[in-house]
Amino acid sequence: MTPLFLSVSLIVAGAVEPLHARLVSAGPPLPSSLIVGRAVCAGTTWLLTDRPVLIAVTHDRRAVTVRPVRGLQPADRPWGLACLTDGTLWTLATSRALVRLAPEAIARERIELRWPRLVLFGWLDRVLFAQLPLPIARPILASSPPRDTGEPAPWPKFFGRAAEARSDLLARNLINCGIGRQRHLPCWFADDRRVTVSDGASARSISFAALYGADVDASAPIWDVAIGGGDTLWLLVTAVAPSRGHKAGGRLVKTNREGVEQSSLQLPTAARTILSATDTTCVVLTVEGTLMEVRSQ
Amino acid sequence: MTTRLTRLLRIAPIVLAATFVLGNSAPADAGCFIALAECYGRAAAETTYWRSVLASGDCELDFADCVRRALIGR
Repeated sequence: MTPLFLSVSLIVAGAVEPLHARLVSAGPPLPSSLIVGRAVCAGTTWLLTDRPVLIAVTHDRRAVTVRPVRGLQPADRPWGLACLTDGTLWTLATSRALVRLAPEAIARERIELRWPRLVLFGWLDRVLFAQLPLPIARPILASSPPRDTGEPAPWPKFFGRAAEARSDLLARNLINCGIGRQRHLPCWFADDRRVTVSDGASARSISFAALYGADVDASAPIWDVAIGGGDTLWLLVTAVAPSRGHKAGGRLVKTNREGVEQSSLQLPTAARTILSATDTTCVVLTVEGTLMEVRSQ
Repeated sequence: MTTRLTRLLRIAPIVLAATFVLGNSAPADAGCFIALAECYGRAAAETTYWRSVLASGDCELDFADCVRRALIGR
């Protein structure tokens, strides 16, 4: 087996430590279909695509498993993916149906929802979601155990933003969440330059100077975020120029927990999403379907 | 004449909803707005008022799906 190696290093003026990137996947590229959900738990990152296909990438060996999802209904168009502390995987098969997926990518359980949901993430043993219709000036995200259809618990710091037209209301209130650590989950409005890290009870907002550069897509500056460890955040910055016709992350920035840049790397290949992160290492999925490891040591 | 008036009254709320949703908006993704307009058109052509209302509700869910795929799909 011929390992694929591409080693790039860049020392940014003023940065504390350089970042080095290398390709680490030796198998075939991951499917290029749109990723509609990502979840991390128990040493594995799960990706759900709109084909729909469930992809598992293990953190230790970077072993990749790709399975077509079975057992969905013909009209289902899955969105979102949550992996909870008990290891269960959940997705919105439709806006009104929460479905549990077995690791073998088979739909095992279906819960009809009273109100449609717009986004879905996982947090500890609860699913985190935004429910429609979107409230203005009230908490937009809420969490609940997946099988509990009662009153969900509001998520701090995210309040519905008003818009002139109802259609803009959706775009203005779309929220994405990154890879968390323990109780802490980073989330952000899709058009915002701040990330809010919350433990479900309290929250703090983090701003990044790295998001004000000329190479940043101002309409959606934050492409992805991962908490690496006790004092590390990895920020994937949206590139102005699309890759293969789609937006993607062009620059990876390592910051401390206050958002102060430690180091930065212009990725040799743009990234679709972050797969895993520690204090010293961040693994991303590139637009070519390969896995790229970025290290700070 | 009565039939035409009835039909006009039936689709009026749908047309107003479409105008409200589409009017004065900065498109997040042009394709989503075109699909929404077409969907509203089909909803307005439904055989009864309540079918039109329900169909327009489905249009908005389809629009939400389209926008999230365009903006936060990876």
